[in-house]
Amino acid sequence: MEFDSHPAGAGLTVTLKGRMEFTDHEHLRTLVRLMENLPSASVYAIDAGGLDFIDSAGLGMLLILEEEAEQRGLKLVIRGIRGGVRRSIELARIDDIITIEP
Amino acid sequence: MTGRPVTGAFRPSGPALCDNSLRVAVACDRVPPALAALAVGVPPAPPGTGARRAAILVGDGLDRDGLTRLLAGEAGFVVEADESPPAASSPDPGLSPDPGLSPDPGWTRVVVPQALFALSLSTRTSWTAQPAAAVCDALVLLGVLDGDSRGTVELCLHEAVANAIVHGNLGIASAAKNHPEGYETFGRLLSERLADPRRRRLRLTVAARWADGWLDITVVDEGQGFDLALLPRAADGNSRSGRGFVFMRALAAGVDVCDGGRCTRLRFALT
Repeated sequence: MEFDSHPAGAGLTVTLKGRMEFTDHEHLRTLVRLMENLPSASVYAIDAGGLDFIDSAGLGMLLILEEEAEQRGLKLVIRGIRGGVRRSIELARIDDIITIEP
Repeated sequence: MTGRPVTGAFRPSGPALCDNSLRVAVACDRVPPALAALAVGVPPAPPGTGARRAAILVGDGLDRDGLTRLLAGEAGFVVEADESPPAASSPDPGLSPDPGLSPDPGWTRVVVPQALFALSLSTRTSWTAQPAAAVCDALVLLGVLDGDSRGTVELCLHEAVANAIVHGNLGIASAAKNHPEGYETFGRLLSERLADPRRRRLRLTVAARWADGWLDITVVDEGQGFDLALLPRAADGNSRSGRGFVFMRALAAGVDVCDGGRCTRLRFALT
């Protein structure tokens, strides 16, 4: 998986590309660290439009990011999911927990 | 066992393996017994139906594209050589100019199988070579899967492979994630275990067989297994583990866990 981040208003948008899977666990700490210094109530948005594949470990990482955002008073949203990534999120019922935007 | 192993220098058709491919891949007709066992009962390919070898033994540098190419057209069995090669056998001097790789004398003789391919990789290579994606790439190239069916098979196979690597060969329990900051512990364990010479050499074995409208895939690891009673039966968005089996059970026509959790069999209907 490749990722990039850029400021978006008071918050941050993280763009994910490729495959988000169990071998990407090492990136999780960095993705959490990006939340530091964001003002409370700002949006930590994940642009998943470039994501081709996600496995159960990748979904677990999204849940951890949701928990970490909540602890910091941030609003986490996921945008642009498609194809197999959308199916995996819906199958695991992650969309009951994390805000999914078009 | 009679007969000498037939070992020939082999140059893969593409550049993905290594420019110095004579030293990283050889054709042979013997594979580890555990791999050969997955092909028991599979008929041999009819003679004259292609240039596939029975098996190819590869060294370092295997990636997804190289693995795909080997599985789709070069060999029925793909075996990664151990990091510490077994004692030198006696490759046929008429076929091989000492390519540096040779099958173990105790391995089992195989022939080119019909409608089956199988691989045996170290955990080290399984971590980087995306074996589930490569298997599905190869099945698409062979016309077994189409674009619609591929996604379902890949997700299920990927989950079985991830379980085999992380929970099986690397021996990391899902419980490592089940407490605050658990992901830090999980990440540390992954790094430590992947660097462990014993664990990184443990094998991941995958066999895919297609016949009579069914695709059957078997994934085998060399870990300690697990308690099958702990597997979740349904999706729970909040759970930190077990979601992979939920995927497999929802999407595959059949999921069978055997050998105390060291073996997962997946079945899919081919349309």
